[in-house]
Amino acid sequence: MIHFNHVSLKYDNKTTALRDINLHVESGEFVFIVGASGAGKSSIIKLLLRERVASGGSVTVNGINVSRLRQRQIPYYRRKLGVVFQDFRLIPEMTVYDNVAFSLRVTDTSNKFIRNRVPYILNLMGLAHKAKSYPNEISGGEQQRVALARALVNDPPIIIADEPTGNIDPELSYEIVELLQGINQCGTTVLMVTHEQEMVRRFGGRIVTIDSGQVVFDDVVPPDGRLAGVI
Amino acid sequence: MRGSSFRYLMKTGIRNLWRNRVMAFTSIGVLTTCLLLVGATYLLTLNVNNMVGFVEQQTEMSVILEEGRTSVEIDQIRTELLANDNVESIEFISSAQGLENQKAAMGDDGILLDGLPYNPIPDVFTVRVKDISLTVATQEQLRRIEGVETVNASGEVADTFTSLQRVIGTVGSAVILALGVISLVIIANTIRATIFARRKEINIMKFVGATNSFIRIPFLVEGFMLGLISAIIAFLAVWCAYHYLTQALTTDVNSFLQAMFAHIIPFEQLSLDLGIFFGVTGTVLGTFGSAISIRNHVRV
Repeated sequence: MIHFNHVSLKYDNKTTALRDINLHVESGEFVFIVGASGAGKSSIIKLLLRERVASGGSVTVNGINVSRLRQRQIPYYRRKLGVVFQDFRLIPEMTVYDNVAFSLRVTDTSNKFIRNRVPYILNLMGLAHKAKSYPNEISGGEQQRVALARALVNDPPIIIADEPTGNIDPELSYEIVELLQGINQCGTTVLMVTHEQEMVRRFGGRIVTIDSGQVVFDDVVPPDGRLAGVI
Repeated sequence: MRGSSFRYLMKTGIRNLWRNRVMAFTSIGVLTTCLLLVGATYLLTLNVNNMVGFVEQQTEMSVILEEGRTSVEIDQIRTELLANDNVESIEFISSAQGLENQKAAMGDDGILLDGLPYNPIPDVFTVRVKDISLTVATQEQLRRIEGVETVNASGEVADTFTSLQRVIGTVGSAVILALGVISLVIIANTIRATIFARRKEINIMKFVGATNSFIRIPFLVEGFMLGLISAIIAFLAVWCAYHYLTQALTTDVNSFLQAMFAHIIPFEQLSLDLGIFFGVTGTVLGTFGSAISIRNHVRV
């Protein structure tokens, strides 16, 4: 489903962010991408979202060579991805309902579908009672669940979560990862970028470690397994 | 695009206008002022043209013939006068007719002219010209015709109006161009401020797969609305100002000016043209100004 073949990325100031990355994620997998700050995790997300184009190699998502996408094709490609960010990126002037519906509105979806789909997703995320609240009226964990609801509402085959637990309490972080695992069990491929070693150790699963722009570890680790030398 | 999406984009554009109301208010103020000045120039140009037409109708030359011309010679002069490109029409007043006219003009005192030993009034052709700006040249051409003694023309009024018409035309065009550019810059800046205020929202739109046009349309709507509101305000202001100015000009002035100001075009005749002019100029400037900012600051 997601294939990085000998991918490298250099920024304009000649900084090398990624070197010869080979990473293959199959449909239905749940993968943690871990690494320290500046290791290159965010660069992987930027390539997947087509914010950046690889300097070398190829990035293929769902059979689409992302580097070769034309400018006008990018929005349609992004609709196949659900994205969750560390800072939630909710629109403060919109209610929870409108923030989730926003994702459907920009993709020219009918009002009838929006009226059915948004309450269903909010209910699934346990946010039905917060539909009329504004982002500043709910907790960090709830805000991240709203962001997750927005990512899911289009029913994308891939969810990309960029440090989704970075701005919330540890207990709520586990709740978010459990939600992502639940989504994954329904068949959605999940790629979660994080630097939280303790949380990754607790959940286990496939872990890819990035260091200095290279993949230094890629294997399946059991829950509560030892992670010495992995992160 | 679905009707519901279109309505959503329109609503978003109008909502943004309200959210960004301080900048919007400033833009509307500047754009309205620009439209007012452009409108005033437009109205002034139209009215001066109209008055020049009136003055042209009033401007006559008197072509005075040499004494003792025969009717054959007079016919020859008539033919030559009519052959001039700038001559609109001519009227011949014989010396006898001229004397009668003079007597009539003097009223009871006209009887005094009966005692004259000879008729001192010459044969005259009264000439109306097509273009008063060519008065001096035409006067010279007519004077050279065989049998013409002299040509009298009141060129000063004609010259003044022609100069005025030219100055207003040139200054008006420059003013319209300069104000158009100023309006564009102001609108572009307002939209840029809106884009900056909404950068987070735009960023989110990009990541959830919004197309360029979906992101851009609300800004175009905002620019269009700024232009439209300014156009409506400018139209109403010009309407009031024109009405009061016309009233003030047509009272308490001497007869010539009154006659000339009577040629001020009534607002009702201009309202449709002016409304379309303001509406089109305002909305085009608003939308185009917005498009400039979008082009430079919104990229997927």
